[in-house]
Amino acid sequence: MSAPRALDRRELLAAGAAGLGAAACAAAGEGLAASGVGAPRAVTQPALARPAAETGRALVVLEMFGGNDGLSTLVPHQDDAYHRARPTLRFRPEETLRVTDERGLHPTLENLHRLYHAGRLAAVEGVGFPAPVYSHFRSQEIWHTARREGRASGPGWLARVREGAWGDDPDRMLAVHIGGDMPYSMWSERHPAISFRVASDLEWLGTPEQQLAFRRAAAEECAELARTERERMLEELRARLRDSQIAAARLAEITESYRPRSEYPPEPFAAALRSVAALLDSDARTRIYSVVLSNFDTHGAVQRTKHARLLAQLDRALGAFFADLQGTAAEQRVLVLCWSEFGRRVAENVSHGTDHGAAGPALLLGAGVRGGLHGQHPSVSDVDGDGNLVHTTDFRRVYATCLERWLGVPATDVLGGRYAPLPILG
Amino acid sequence: MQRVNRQPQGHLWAGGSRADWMRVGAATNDPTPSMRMSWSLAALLSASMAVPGAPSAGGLQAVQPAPEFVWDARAVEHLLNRAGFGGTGAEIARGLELGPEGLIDELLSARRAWVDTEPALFRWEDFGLDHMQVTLESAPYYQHSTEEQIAMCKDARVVDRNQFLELYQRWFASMARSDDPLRDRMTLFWHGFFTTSWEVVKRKYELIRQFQWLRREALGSYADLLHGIVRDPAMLQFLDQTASSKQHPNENLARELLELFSLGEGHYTELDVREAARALTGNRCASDGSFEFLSGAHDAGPKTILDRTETFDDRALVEHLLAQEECPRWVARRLLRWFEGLEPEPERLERYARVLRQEQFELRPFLRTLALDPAFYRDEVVGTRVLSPIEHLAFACHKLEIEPDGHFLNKAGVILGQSFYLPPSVKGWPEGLDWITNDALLRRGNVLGALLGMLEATPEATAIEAASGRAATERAEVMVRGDLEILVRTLEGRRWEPGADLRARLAASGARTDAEVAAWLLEEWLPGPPARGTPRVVSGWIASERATRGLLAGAWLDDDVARTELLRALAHLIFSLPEAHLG
Repeated sequence: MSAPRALDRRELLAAGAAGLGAAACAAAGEGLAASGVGAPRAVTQPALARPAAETGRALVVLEMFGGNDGLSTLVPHQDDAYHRARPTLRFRPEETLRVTDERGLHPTLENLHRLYHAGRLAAVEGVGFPAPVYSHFRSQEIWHTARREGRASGPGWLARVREGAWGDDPDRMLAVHIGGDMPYSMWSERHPAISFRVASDLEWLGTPEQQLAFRRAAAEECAELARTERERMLEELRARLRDSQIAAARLAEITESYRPRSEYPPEPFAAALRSVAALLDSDARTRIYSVVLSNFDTHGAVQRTKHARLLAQLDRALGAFFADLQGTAAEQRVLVLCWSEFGRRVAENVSHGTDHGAAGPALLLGAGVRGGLHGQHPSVSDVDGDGNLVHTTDFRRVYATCLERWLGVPATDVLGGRYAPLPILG
Repeated sequence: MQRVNRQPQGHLWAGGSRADWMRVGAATNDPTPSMRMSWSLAALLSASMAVPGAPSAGGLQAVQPAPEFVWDARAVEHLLNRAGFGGTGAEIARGLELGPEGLIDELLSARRAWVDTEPALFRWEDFGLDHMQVTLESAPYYQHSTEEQIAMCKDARVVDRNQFLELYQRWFASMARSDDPLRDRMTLFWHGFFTTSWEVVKRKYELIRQFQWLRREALGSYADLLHGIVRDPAMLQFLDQTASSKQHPNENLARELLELFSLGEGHYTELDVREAARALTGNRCASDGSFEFLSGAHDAGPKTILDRTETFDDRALVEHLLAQEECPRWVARRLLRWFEGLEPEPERLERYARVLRQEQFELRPFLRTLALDPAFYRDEVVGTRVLSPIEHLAFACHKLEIEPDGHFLNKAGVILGQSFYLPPSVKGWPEGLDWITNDALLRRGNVLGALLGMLEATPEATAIEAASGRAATERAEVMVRGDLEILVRTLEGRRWEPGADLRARLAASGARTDAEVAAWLLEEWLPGPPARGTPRVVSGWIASERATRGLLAGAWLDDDVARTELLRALAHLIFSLPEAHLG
């Protein structure tokens, strides 16, 4: 994508610096910003040491949207019921990557297999919730909010961390989503997370002169008192634009100067993990990262190839990510949680795909995990009335583990109840 | 007594200068700049009493103290911003002439171009598939080979999808042309109120039928809409009513009926939800996509809902909900929030709830009362509402006389976060500042840039070079830029030309110098006055563009490509400003 005249990086960075000037101006007028709409806003500069930064540990929440087929991810290859239910989709024991005598990983998950045997991968089997729902969106809402009522219950679980335990920390970069639409789990009105795909996403496309004019117009009048409601609203919109300008300049600097130690595949999803690595390597204080890999909704005849392609993409990206971090301080600081809103129906459908199901494995990766299989695999033969696996571990116990044992954040308020952490971390 | 038209100093919006520009523009209706009408409560009341459907006196007596408002350009533009998709100078001039009652009555009756008879819709049956995309046993489909069957399914999906995009295109064109603006604005409201998503309702046919119905009834009666929605085939599918039976009542529709469609949280119990679910059993979507009532699936036994016990069916249930004190309050609150962009004060809410109740949920009297209410024109309300992405795009297209096609709208929706029949949740779209994530204004600006032909797709050669030679991040960037890149390629592939003859309008404006042109464009295009520093920034930018493009000063009206491009670039900049998102 380009404006009719190519943009010069240096000009853009210079323009970004102009944005920073505007921010300083906004900071000087902090008092009036506070009298404006919504909560006081803070600039995105690193603040003084705050509780949120004490442990410096970071959580990468990786959502596999569409309903990942858990039975093809972590295969119960010794189970006759599995082979009967999946006549065309099944994997024979020798096709899988061996994990235990009973389980094997999908053949494409070579990097995850390596991480498993290095003790860096903990798989929790049968994760779900009672009375499963089969709508992607409703199930996803439940995962995003950790509550049955979904969005009606308020902000998402990660936003609750941001607003609760880290509520006093003004650093806008504490929670970052890298990708397209930001998941509801991250949505906070009080502490809007930074959301971008690539740093240049936070860029209004035009000629450099246009961009400068746009920046000036966007930052105009910030030193003046907003007297009317309209002026206050305008100032609020400008503040949000300034946020992205500041973030854009900083993110561009961080991601473009980053020199990874491994080669990331040229795919958007891998690029998102590369940006996570770059931020982990920088002085950014980001503690929650969100990334999404979509398209797991494999109803049709192409499930076998499509699912393999998706898992291969996941595996390549995570492989590059952990190879990049190997031996660095960041490696000790990061935990990756992979989840999907539900698994697939146990029995394959007539078109050799699978329909929406329930329960599936959640994967935790990092130097801090106690590697291996955790939880209990749900029975493939003893399914519920809809032909679905019955979950054995509530997903909120996985969340509680990440919150209390990794981020050091009390989980009860975030999850709306007491869920016992699992013995997976350190 | 304070007059409502207090205005910040120093911008052209105030003091009739818009009228001055319009007077220069002899092509438009010659407005009467001095035409300022004070509306006392008494005048308002007596005038409106004479009109059928006017608010009853009881509703208006609540106004204390009786304020007045001035029917000036600011007021006209405000009404056109909220009851339509903004006003051009000519439309504002016309509104000044019509007066407040004349304008709102025209808006309430406008029906200039929408085709009442919809084109015949293709149905899945035409392709041998039923509404759940399951093949019909009897279909000739089975006489075909597997490859042919797959092709048939694909054809059906393409046709279904195209007729959906065609509908969206027609609706958007109606907004952009301002053919029936208040109806379209209300259709957008109901579309967010009775949300339904194509990700759940697989077939577009039922969605199209729902939309046609919502648009037809958009200015009619809320009571009719509520009765209709519990029998709407798309809604029945969306909220799992198709699986609901006497033995296993599904609560989804019942819950949203109480929580989102009629009463709001806190005004019913879980037991009410369960009992209402029983009342709705039997309402189904038939396999041909129409409504059907399966008496065998209906629970005809007595139910206790909101303190009354009887053998409720869906009709009786909806009547019972309409009779609840909370119901008009809930609807009035949602409508006031939509039109004013603010949470209504309790007294104001009560007053408007009474209007709804007294008018038996007819929407026209409600909207008329609001449009003639001096408080609707208070500073807190005027020019302070954040436009949704579709509104922002429609405002721009209206002002620029652009009619994008359905494929563009569909792809733009993905980038903007507001797609036709794809609400983020059953609660509908966000409102106000919730729209404005850190990159929202940038995304909106970039989509407009694409529409105005200001962006070009990365040349194929560059993409290939990037994919083979450069660092991973840049290669990924080429792909990640996907959404916008695809949008631009779509436009290029369809040989899109923004088309609007901006120069003709500029000629009529009388603006000649750079400063005049900047001022006029800001007036004409923005839904409210520009911020103090904006005209200077824009005219400053014009000067620098003149230098880089080698254009002489003045001579705005010469017919050449450079000047047309300059005007488009200005449109891109102006519609990207923060001011362009508040109307």
